[in-house]
Parts: sequence; structure tokens; C-alpha cells
Amino acid sequence: MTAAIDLRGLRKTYKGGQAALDGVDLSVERGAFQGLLGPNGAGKSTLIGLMTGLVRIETGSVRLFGHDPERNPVAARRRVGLVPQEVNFNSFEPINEIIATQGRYYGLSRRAARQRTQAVLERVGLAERAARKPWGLSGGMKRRLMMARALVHEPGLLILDEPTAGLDVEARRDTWALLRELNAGGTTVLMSSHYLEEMRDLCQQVAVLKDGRLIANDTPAQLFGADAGSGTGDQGLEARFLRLLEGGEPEEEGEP
Amino acid sequence: MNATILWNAYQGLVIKQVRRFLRSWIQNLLPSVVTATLFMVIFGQFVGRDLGQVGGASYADYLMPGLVLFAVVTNAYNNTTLSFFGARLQRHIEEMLVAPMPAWLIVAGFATAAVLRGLMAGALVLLIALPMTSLQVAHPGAALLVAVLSALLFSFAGLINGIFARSFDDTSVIATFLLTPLIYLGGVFYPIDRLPAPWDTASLANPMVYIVDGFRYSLLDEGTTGDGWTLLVLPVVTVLTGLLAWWLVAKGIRIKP
Repeated sequence: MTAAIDLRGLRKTYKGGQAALDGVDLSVERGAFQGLLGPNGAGKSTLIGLMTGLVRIETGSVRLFGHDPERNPVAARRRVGLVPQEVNFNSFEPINEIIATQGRYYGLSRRAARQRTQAVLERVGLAERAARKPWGLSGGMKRRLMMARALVHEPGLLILDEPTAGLDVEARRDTWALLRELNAGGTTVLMSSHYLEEMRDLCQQVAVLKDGRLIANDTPAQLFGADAGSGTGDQGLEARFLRLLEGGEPEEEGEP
Repeated sequence: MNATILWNAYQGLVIKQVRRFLRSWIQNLLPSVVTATLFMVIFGQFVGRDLGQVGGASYADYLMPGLVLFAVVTNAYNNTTLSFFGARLQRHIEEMLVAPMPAWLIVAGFATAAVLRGLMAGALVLLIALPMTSLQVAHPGAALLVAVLSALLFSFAGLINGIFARSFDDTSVIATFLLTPLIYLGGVFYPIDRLPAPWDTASLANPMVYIVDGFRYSLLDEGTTGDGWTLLVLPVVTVLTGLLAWWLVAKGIRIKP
């Protein structure tokens, strides 16, 4: 079976010569929960942009479910949903129109788009605000709106760029629950985040980017050590992550 | 399967864009009607009575086709410029870029909504101006064809403006300093053969002359160049402009980093 995501030799240099990605290869199997980790400026959003058509491909190839999104956008993109890092909906449109229109863009009929809009708004807890414009939404609600929009066409692959950034604990846990539920239902999930606990607790595999290069792609236990707890001490996730970025291996269990 | 997906996506985009300009119809549709009505009353009625025949018709009859076309092209142009620039500015163009929508479909959706707005504005001007004239539409099919092609051409041109605009100022610069003078000097108010040399010849380089004249010919059966030139030049220029708009969107110029 073809992988949900197959990236080969991706390079991207922005104007001014700033290299955002430098030869990234990554394959994500169908049904996987893949994390994407890295410090600010490591190239996570660029990688997601290249996968989802928001950034121009310079060198290398992207295949989504075996299809080239440049040559066959319908086959490649119709099963992909994106929750971007920054708000990118039209603030002058009612919430239900934002969602339904996205459903239409993905090929849903008018009736199907209306039904799915109702379902996803109920799922993310925004059904009561459906007819309102999104001006008064809190940051967390805006993220839920973008989640609903990404799910309206029932994607087989959900890509999320820091979906829990800035959320309170309750909203973050709701998001985790939703992502677990989707993944358990067969949806492939690729998520970037700065929260190491998220990576450890949710992902089956975590790819680590540094300076545009993929420096690791392994299970959280392999990357952080099976006993890695949270916190900032030597045994904490942050310490282990920093060691990983510096090129060190996670320490063996039982070692001080 | 693909055709159904694309058709639904196209419908979704057109409906979204039509809703957008209808939501603010006072701001989007009414100004053209008010301007055209004032021109018809002041120039067509008050001043025009003393002018006698112009271009083989009363001045009110002569003026009206140009005013209708002015409403059509400016509305089509402004619609794509502002909606595309707004989509870039607020980044909701990303909703289309991530979806299974080829570049040609995005261009077609924006252009269709712009043509609809242009035709709506033109129809409103026509409805208000017609009672002030004695005009009989001579060639309705040709009139509709010229109006649709003109709206399409200017919707593509507006889209290109929307792609390159960096600020709201940039969305009005072309319309104010290029489009409006070209239309005003393109034979809306006077027949170009009345101009002294070399301005009569120089005017022939203005593409609006052929569009306005062709539209006038299709309504009045009177014109300087005849609608043959219009129907020859307009489709070619429209296709070329549409191809340029498609290429810019397909390459992601000023849309994707």
C-alpha cells in the first residue's frame, strides 16, 4: 500500500538565500500518527507548506497517497485536510459559510457540505455560533473553527501546524482527544508542535528537524528515552530534546 | 468523479464571491448606477439637447452604450482586484490552494463572479438609462457578447492587479490612473473621428475605443469602427489576458513563497 505522505529530497531556499529545507526525505504510513518537532526556524512550517500546496516546490518530490499534487491536484489533495498555524479564514463570512465553502472546494455537493458543516461544528463545540461571524471568537475558538474546516470533507490525512499553540489546558486536552479519536478511526495525522509532552503522548513516530535537515525520525521512546518524564531537569523531556538537537543520544534507562 | 468534484468546487467559489459582492451591494453596485444616472441627466438631457446628432444618434442615445459598458468593465475589474487581494491579505486564498482546485478553476471562479457583477451593474444602468433615450437595441446578441467578453477581459485584468497589489492603494491605482482615462478617452462621450489630428489616429491605439464602439454599434447600429473589429480583437485579448492570469496563479507568483 502506498504511503500517505512520501517526501523525497525536498529543498527550499527563500529569497535572500535563506535555506529553509535542505534535502528532507520523509515517509508517513497510512494510519500513522506522525509528529514533527524542531526549534523555531527549523523548517516545520515550510515542510507542511510544501506538502499542502502553500509553498512552491523548488527541488524534490511530494506524493500524497501516491499522487503528485502538482500534476494531479484532485487525486492528491482531496483526502488531505490542513489546520494551519495562523488564522486564515475570512472574518467577514459567517462561520457556517466558511466551513461549507471549504467543503465545496473539496468537491462536496451543497447538501453534503451543509450536513457535514453541522456535524463538524457540533463536534468542535461551535454549533451555537454557526450563523455568526468569527469576529468575537477567542483564540481557542478560532483554532476549533480551523479544525472544523479541515475536517469538513472527512480527510484521510490531517496535517496540523502547531494546533495547540496558545490553547488553555482544557482546550488542549479536547484537541488531543479529538486527534486520538480521528487516528483511531483510521485518519493519518501529521502534527507539528513545540510541546514535547504532546509528541511523547500522542505520536507513534516523531521526526526532528534542525536547520532544515531531518536529524531523526523515531518513536518517542527511542528519541527521548522510555523513562522521559516532563519537566526541565536532566531527565526531563526538554533536556533530552536539547541533547538530541546538539547531536547527543538519549541516555540509557537507569543511567543518571 | 473528477468532473463532479471540480464542478462543486467551482460552484462553491462562485457562490462565495457572489455573496461577497451582494453582501455590500450598496458599496459595490450602486455607485455605478448613480454615476451613470448623473451623466445621463446632465450630459444626455441638459447639455445633449443643444448638441444635436452625435455619431448618427441623439447625444443621450450616443452616450448610453458607453456608460453601460463603463459600469460593466469597472465592476468586473474592481471585483476581482479587491476580492483576490483581500483573499491574499487575509490569507483565506489558502483555503483554495490546499483544496483540489487547479489554477484554471480558481481563475474561472473569480472571473465568473466578476462577470456576473459587471453584467448586473450594466443591466441596472441600462434599466435606468433606457427611459431617457429613444434607443432600440439593434443587435442584442452582439451586445450581450461584447458585454460578456469585456467583463471577462477586465475580470482577468483585475485578477492580475489583485495578484501584484501590495496594498489597498495598489488596487485602485490602475483603475484610477489607467482604466478610467482609457475609458473616458475611448469614445464614451464623443466619436473619435471628431478629434483633430493626430489625436484621432492616436486614439486608435486605445483598446477601449474598439470595445466601446463595438458595443455602441450593437445597440445603435452606428459606430466608427463597426463591431467586426471588436469581435476580432476582443476575444484574442481576452484569451491572452486570461492565460496570463492562469499562469501567474499556477506558478504561485506573489501567492506562494
